[in-house]
Order: sequence, then structure tokens, then C-alpha cells
Amino acid sequence: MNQPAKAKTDLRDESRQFALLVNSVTDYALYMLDPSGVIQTWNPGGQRIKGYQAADVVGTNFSRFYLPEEAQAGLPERNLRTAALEGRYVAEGWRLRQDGTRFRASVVIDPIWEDGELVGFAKITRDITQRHEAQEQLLQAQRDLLQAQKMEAIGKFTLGLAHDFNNLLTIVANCLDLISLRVKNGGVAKLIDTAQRAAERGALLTRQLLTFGKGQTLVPEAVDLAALMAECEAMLRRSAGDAIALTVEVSRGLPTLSLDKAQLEAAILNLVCNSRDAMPKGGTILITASARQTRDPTLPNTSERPYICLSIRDDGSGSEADQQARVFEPFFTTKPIGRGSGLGLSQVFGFTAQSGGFTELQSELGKGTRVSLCFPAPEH
Amino acid sequence: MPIHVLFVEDEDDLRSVVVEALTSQGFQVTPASNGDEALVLLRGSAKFAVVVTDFNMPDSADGLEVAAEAAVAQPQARVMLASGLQRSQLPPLPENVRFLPKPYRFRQLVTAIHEDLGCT
Repeated sequence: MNQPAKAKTDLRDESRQFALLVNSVTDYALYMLDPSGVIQTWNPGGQRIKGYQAADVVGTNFSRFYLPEEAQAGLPERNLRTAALEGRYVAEGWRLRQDGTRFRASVVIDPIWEDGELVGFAKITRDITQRHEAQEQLLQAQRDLLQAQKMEAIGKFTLGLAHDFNNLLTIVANCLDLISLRVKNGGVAKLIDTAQRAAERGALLTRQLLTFGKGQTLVPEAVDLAALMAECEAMLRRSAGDAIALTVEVSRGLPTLSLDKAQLEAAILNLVCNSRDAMPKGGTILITASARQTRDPTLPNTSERPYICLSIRDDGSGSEADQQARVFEPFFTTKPIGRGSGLGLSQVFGFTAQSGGFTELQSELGKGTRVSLCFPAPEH
Repeated sequence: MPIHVLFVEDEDDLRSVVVEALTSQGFQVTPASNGDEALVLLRGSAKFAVVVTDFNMPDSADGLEVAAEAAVAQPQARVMLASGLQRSQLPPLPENVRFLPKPYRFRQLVTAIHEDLGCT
């Protein structure tokens, strides 16, 4: 009873068993390499995972599956050497498919020895992209949670801190005021002025911490820019210091805006302080306001509409282009440690964005900086 | 007739400094060292034109409770609520309450009082 049809499905022939096994596996790329890494065999798993047919790859070096930079750095050869020396190479890494896309690979390389001689390698690759992505998502979720917890802790801490610290600053500022009422002396007046400036900067710092510690909701009220600037011009002048000529040119008659006044003041003071720090040898700061027909560059597909823009311009050191992309990030600072909290510009950016507007930064190394806060003009 | 101010602040140094400053500006000032003390004074016979109160006073009535009591017991009084927190971080304020951000300078306080009383 020796029928040919039966012989075809006979699994007792060892080499046929092996061929059937390898060719039935579609979840793993199973193939053999010669000692130098040239591909000798291929299976449907390899085709499914990497996209290549056997004819495309057999006879070529397996380094083609590596990312170009890793292949160039000699990683494929190094991995073969590791397998030969240590008896096995196991790792995860990024590999390329035929269409050029990347996949996350779990890779095993086993050396094949025959009579003490290395005749090649058995290579097993599995596509673990999905698992990898799930792990990454989980990690990201954990990081987000940690970040949220951190912000919450900072929030609680700063709330308490701001309360106490602002009380202390109120005492300091009012004692200084009372001293200045009693002591009429030019030298003392100058010292009092300096101390007041320090107190105001302290107040700005607590305000900024509060903005970051707690998700800030704005309380908009009617703001007339000319009136606001008249109110805080003296404070800005004090913050800028004697070496800097600060000019405010904000004409009356601009439309009234609906903005959070405290945050707007903080934004202006932040920008003035930044300008001051950019001009250690003195210089000029010009604050202007104008109506402008423009579009919000952060929103795609929007048409031009009227904006009211408040600009703070200095003739200081300016900043480099690569720094400009990052200046609005929280805690990013170009200032030396101890000179800046890194919260200033991100407060400015966050505030304008939350108010429905945008911030514009123009800066050139050696030519000064202009920051414009653009708020949508009220519709009529 | 000097303007009578009830000044409620639980930070001792701050209270004494501001009371001194307001007094020197010609105000008649009654200090209260916490919210509970302020509630008793508001229910008493003295009439206040202005109530200036801190918001956050641990272990006592807070600034909003003082403001609420003032609205009932002394409806003629203008109320100013001072806080180191920002307005958006406080509960919504009643109509009769004006917000005063801390740190304030007493000149700002004086200006605010005069504005509130309609005699700038």
C-alpha cells in the first residue's frame, strides 16, 4: 500500500518536516544566514512581517533590515559576533520593512555549529510593534499622571505660599511707604525705591507661580489700554531701573478690551523685566499699542480680522532663532541660573492664547526684541 | 467727620502697619484680628462706611462671611476683599464686594476707598 498521494503528506521525512514547519509559520520571520550574514532561506513569516519575497532577499546581507544609521555603525556584524561568542543574541530594536516603514522587532540570533565550525546563524524575528506601542502608551499615561500629580502638589504648595508671601510683601511695601512719608532725604528715597522694586518683583513671582500652580481661569473685565498704562507706568519705570529709558506711547481712543487686568499687567511687567535683563548696560524700552488687521498665525484657515496689539520693544541683545522657538515653554530660560524663573514668557504666551489672541516675537541677535500681545478687537 | 473703616486682617504686623497708615491719612480705623471678631463688631452699634477684610483667615470666619454679614448688618458699608490669591482663584464675589489684590500699597487702598465712596 504505497500510494504516491499518501507519500506527499507523509510527515516522517525529517527534512520535509522541517520545511513544512518553517513554511507554516507566519508570525515569525525564520531564516538562515551564512557566517557573514548573507540570507540563505526565507519563510512566509518573513514575507508577512518585512514585506519581501524570498527572491528579493535570499543572497543579500541581512543588514538591509537595519536602520541605515545602525547598519553604518556596524550593528548587524556586531550582533552576529555577539551570537557566535555568547551562544545567542537577544534584543529588541527598530527594523525596516520593504516599504521603508519601521517596525519594532524582537530579534533572536542563534549560531549554528557543525563539527566545531560556525556554518551560519538561525534568525528569528517577531513584529512587536503593537505591544511596544501599548507599552509606550501605558508609560506615557503614567508620565502624564505623574506630571498631573506634580502640578497638583505644586498648586497646593504655591497657594499657601502666595498667601503668606503676599502678606509679607504687603507689610514690606507699606512700611517703606510710611518711612518715605517720615524721612525726607534724597539718599534714603533712593534706597526705598530700590526696596520697593524688589518687593514688586517678589509680588510678580508669586503671581506667576500661582498661574502655573493652578489651572488659571481668567476674569475678564473692561480694559482701556491707555488708562491701564497710565496706572502702571510708574511701576514699570521702577522695574526697568534708572539705566533704561522707558517710553509709553499708547493713545486714547482704542477700543475697550475684555481682559484679565492682573494677568495683563503681569504680562507687561514680565516683558519689561526681560527687556531690562537683555540690556545690562542700559537702553530703551518703547511700549506702543495699535489696531491691526491680521490673522492668528497659530490657527490655520482663519481670515484676517481686527486685532489690538500692545508691543514692547527694546534695543537689547535679542535672541537666536533656535531659542525663539522655545522661549514660550514653561521654565525655559536663556538667563543664567538665579536670573530668571523661566516662567515669564510662558505666562505671556498662555495669557494671550487664553484671551483668544496670540503673541508675536520678533528678535534678532544684537538688534533687540519686540514682543506684541495681540487681542481680538471687540466685534460691533 | 472722619470716614470710619473696619480693617480685618489676621497678620498682626500687616494690621498694625495699615491701621497706622490709614489713621495718618485721617481715617478713623477699627481693627479686627480675625473674621469672628469682625462679625461681632459688625453686629455692634458702631457704624462703618467701609469694611476692608482679608479673605483667608484660618480658624475663623473668612472674608466672604464678613462681607455677607456686612451686607445684612451694615448695608451702608462698602466692602473690600483683599487676597494674595487671584480673583479667579476665589469663589465668585457678591455685587457689593470689591476685590483688592495683595500685595497692595496703602495709597491704593486709600484711592480704592475714596472711589468706592464716590469722592475721588
